[in-house]
Amino acid sequence: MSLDDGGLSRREFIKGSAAVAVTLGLASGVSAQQPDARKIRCGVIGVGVEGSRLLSKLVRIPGVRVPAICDIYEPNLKDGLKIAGLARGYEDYRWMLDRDDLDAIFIATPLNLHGSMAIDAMKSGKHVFCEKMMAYSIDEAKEMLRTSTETGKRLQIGYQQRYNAIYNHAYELIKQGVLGKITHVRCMWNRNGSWRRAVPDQKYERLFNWRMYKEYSQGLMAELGSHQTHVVNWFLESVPVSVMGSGGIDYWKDGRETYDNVNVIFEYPEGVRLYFQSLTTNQYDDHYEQFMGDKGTLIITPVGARLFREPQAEQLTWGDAAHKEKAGGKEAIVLDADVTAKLKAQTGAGEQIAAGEKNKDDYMCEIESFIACVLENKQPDCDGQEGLESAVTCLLANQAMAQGKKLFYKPEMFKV
Amino acid sequence: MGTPIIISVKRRAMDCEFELVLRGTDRQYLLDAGEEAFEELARLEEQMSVFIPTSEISDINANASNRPVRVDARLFDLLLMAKRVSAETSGAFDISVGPLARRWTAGDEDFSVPTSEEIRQLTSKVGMRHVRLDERDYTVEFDRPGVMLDLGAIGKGYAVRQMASLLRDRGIDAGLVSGGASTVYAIGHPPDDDAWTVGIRNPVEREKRLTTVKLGDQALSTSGGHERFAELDGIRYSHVIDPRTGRPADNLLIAGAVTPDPAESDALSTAFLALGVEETRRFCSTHANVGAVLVPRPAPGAELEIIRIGT
Repeated sequence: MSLDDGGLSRREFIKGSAAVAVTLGLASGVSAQQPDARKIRCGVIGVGVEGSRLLSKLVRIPGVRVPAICDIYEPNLKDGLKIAGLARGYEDYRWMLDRDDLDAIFIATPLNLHGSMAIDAMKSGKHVFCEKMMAYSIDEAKEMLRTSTETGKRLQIGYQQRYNAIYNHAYELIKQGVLGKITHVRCMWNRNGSWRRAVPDQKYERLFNWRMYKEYSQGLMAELGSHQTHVVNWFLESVPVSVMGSGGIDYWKDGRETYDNVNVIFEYPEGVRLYFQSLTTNQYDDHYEQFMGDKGTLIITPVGARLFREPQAEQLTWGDAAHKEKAGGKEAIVLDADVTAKLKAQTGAGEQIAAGEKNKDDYMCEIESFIACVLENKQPDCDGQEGLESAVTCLLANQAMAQGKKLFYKPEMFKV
Repeated sequence: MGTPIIISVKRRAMDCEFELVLRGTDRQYLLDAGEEAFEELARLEEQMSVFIPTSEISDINANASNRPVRVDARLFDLLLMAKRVSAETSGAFDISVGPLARRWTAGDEDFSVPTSEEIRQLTSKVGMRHVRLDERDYTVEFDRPGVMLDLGAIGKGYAVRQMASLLRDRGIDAGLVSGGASTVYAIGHPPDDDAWTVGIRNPVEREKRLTTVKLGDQALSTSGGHERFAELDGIRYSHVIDPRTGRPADNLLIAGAVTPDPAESDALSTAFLALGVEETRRFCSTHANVGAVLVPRPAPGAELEIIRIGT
C-alpha cells in the first residue's frame, strides 16, 4: 500500500464509525482485501555491518515487513536475506525503488551514496531513513532536505542518541539549569585499532574499507564525530560559529587517505567551546560527551551518565535523594533512565527519573519512532534539518583541518 | 606477506573468555579480522543473552506468551535447530528448561531440594512442544505463560560457529576459536600436523589433562555438572538439569561432543550429560558425524574411566 493515498486516514475514519464502515465496505467490495494500514513495507539498501544491524531490528517490529533488500556485494546480500527471511534481493537499488509496494527505504551505504539514493527514494514515493552522516557534501544534504519538503516524504537521519533515554534525560536536566551556564564541552571518541576491515581479496579493498578513501568518506569526523556534534548541537540548541583543527595520517601509514587522528575546536555563540578528539592509537578515553557548566559537569559514557557538582553550586538544585557514588575521587550523581519513576521536573537535579523503556535499545527506539512517524504522518525528531546541521558542523571542520585555517560558519549553510 | 605467524587474542563475553588463535602471515591483518569476529560476538551477545533486557531473547520471553513474536531469521534458524536437537535427543537437550533449572539453582544459600509436586508443576512449563516456531513468518509463540527460552547451552557454540565462519570468509584457513571452556572449533590444521590437538581438563585434579582430542574443521564441546552445583547435607546437586526428569543430570562427570558444527556440539554435550553412556552410544551410532568423550561418575576411590565413541 501507499500511505499518501489517504489509506490510513480513511481506515481510521472507518474504525471510528461502524455504520459508515459497513457501507463503504459494501460499496467498494474490497473490505476483506483492504491492506492493513498498520503494516509498513520497507526496503533496505546496503546490508553490511550497519545495515544488517538495522535490518535485524526492523524485521522484529510488529506490522513491519521487509520484502526487499539491496547490496552490490553478493555475500552481504545473502547474509541479509538470512536475516530478513522472506525478501527479494537486489543488486541495483533503482530496481528496488521501482517497486510501488514499498512505503519506506532504509539507507546504510557508503557516505558518498547517501544523497543520490535518498533523493531517488523520496522521488519514487518512499519515506527515507538514512544512516548518519546525512551526506558527503553540504549541497547534497540540502538537496535531500529540499526533496523531502517537495515530495512530502519523511526523512530521518540515524543518530540513535536522539532516541536514547539517557541522552534525553541529560538534555532535560541541562534545560532545567542543573549545570548552570555551560561554557565548555569535551567530546572524545578514541580507540586503538586500524579501523580497517580485513579484506581477503584486494579487489574489494575500496568497497570494504571505503571509510579510508576520500572519494567515499569524510573520515573520523563524519563516522564518529558527527554523532557527538549532533548531541552538542541538540543540547546547546545551537550551531557553531567557527572551527579550527589539526589532523593527519600519522600512525596508520597503510595507504589510507582519511586522517587517523583529528583534534578540533568549535566555537559556539557566547564563547562556548567544544573540543572534539578522535584517535585510533590510544583508547584510554574511550568515548564520552562532557558538558561543563559553572554549576556542574555532566558526562555521558557508554556505561552511563553522571553529574558532578561544582563546590560553589547551590544545594537547592542538587537533590539529596539521588543515587550517588564515588567516581575518580569525587561524588557523582548517577543518571538512571528508569521507566518506573517520574521526572521530577520541579525539584531539579539528578534523581532517578523516567526517560524511556529499558527493554529497548536506542537503535530499536529510533527505528520504531521512524515507523510511527510514517504511520502517523509526523515529522521525525531527528529530521533532515538536524542531520544537515550536524553534517555542516563536521564538513567545515574537515575543511579547516585540510586548510590549516580557522573557518567561519555562515547562517545560510545550515538552511535550505 | 612474510613468514607464518600465529596470534592469540582474547575478549570477555557471555560470561566467559573467548579466544582466537589465528595463523597467517600478516599480523595486522589477523588482528583486524579478529576484531571483526569480536564485533560479531558482541552483537550476538546483545541478541541472545537472557541477562540483557533489550536482547531479542528477552523480547521473546516477555511477549511470546501473548502474541507471535517476529525474530531475526538467523535466530529463528538457531531456534529451529535447537528444537531439532531436542527431538533427536528425546528432550535431553532443551532450551526451555529454564523454569526447572532456575529452581535447582535458586539461591545457593537457602537451597532446598524441590518436592516432586514442585517438579511436576515446573515441568508443565518446560518442553519445546510449548514453543511454536512458524516457518512462514519467522515467529515464535508460547502456548502458555511461564515458558522461557535460554540459549545458555547452545549460544556460545553458535557464537563460535559465526565467528569461525567470518574468519574463513576473511581467508583465514588455520586457527582455533574457543568460547570459554565450553566449545572450541578448529579451522583447518596447524602447520606441523593434520589436526589441532585439544585437551580436556581433568575434573578432579584440575591442573592435569584428562585426555586429548584431535580436531580438523570440527568442534569439541564439553559439559559437566562438577563445576557448578548446589550442596546440601554433603550431597552435590548439579546445575545441569535433565529436562526429562526435572532432576540434576549426574550420571556423568563430563560429557564431550565432537561434530563439524560448534552450535550442535555445544547442544549435544549438554544432551549427553543427561543421556548417559548407553543412550549416547545409541545416538552416535545413528549420527555419523558425531563423536563423544564421556567420563562416568566414579565409585568412591575408583579411577576415572574415559569412554570414547568415534573420537
